[in-house]
Amino acid sequence: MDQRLKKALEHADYVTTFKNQKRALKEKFSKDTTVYYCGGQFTASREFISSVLSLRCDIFVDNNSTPIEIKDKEDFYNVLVEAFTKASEDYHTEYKKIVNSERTVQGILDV
Amino acid sequence: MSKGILVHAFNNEDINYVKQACMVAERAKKYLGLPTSVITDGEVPEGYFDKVINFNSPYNYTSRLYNSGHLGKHLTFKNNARVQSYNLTPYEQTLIIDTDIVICDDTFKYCFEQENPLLMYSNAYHLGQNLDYNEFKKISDSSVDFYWATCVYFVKCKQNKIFFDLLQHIEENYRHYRMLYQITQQTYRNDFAFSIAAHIMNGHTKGDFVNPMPGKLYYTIDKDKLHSIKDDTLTFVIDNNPIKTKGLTVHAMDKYSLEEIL
Repeated sequence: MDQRLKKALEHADYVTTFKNQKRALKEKFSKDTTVYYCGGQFTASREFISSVLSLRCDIFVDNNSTPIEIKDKEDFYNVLVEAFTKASEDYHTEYKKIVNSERTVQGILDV
Repeated sequence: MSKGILVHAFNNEDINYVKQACMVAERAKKYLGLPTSVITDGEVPEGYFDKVINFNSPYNYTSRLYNSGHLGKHLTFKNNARVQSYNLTPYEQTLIIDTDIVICDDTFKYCFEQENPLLMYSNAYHLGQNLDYNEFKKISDSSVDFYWATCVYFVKCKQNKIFFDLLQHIEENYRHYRMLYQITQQTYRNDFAFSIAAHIMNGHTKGDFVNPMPGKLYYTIDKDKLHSIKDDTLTFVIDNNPIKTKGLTVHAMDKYSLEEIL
């Protein structure tokens, strides 16, 4: 095979694998930012977290459009912050690993 | 209330579902801290299961195409016990899962911590790049929403008794319902029966009789190879490209590659 084509195809495989791994990390981040609290399912996003303590209302509509009463909003806030922070840090750490890995398919898989 | 996992394991000519069920039981204990019971027509090894429920199906078995990579083979498919799950489960709160679900996290345990009596996935996400399988959105081109019978959480209650009785009726009269819901596939499929039952119980419309399972259902199809399982890290080969997941529970549909690994 022409070496120019061979190298291009190897790079294409690397790019595909990189995209696959990034998507897997993104899904992991999405899973890790999902918080189950008082029987409801919530997504710990920056916007949602910042709104939790700013309103007096104790009723929160969860991801499945179910209204959930949360009496201890302080604890709910802390749980959301912890989930979001850990998920973001893990996402960043793992992403850095694949970015800094050897730029080959095997290099990414060895991370 | 008692709670646990329920798996159906009926071996055929090539696939050892009981072996897969043992894997599910081990991982359910490790990641969810829950016992697993098995419904089967064969022998099971000791030490894996909370309860072994023998079920010798009175119905004719169907046949379906099993793919392994790009090779296909028609094998016996014994799938008509699932609609009996309500009567056969030893638990008040039951999570039925397929034997090819590789549990890698504790998401399923949240089923048992919420109040809805019936949960199923209607959406699922393929791990490959940008693949969108329309066959998992509706049960036919002009028909109703698709629900996955792969994972079903239910509580023993009056409405679920009605639901499962209806499922048995649909299974027994599948030919009629297949025509009614314009399903082209001839083989009886639990996903279709559950989808039809959900539609009927919703008053023949969309509704929230069935609520969503926690988290997302990730899957790979039978043409995608499962390459390795190492604790919560799974490596797949999808369209000749590898993908490694960590801490994500995945429905790995290629039974052959799963069997090779176990």
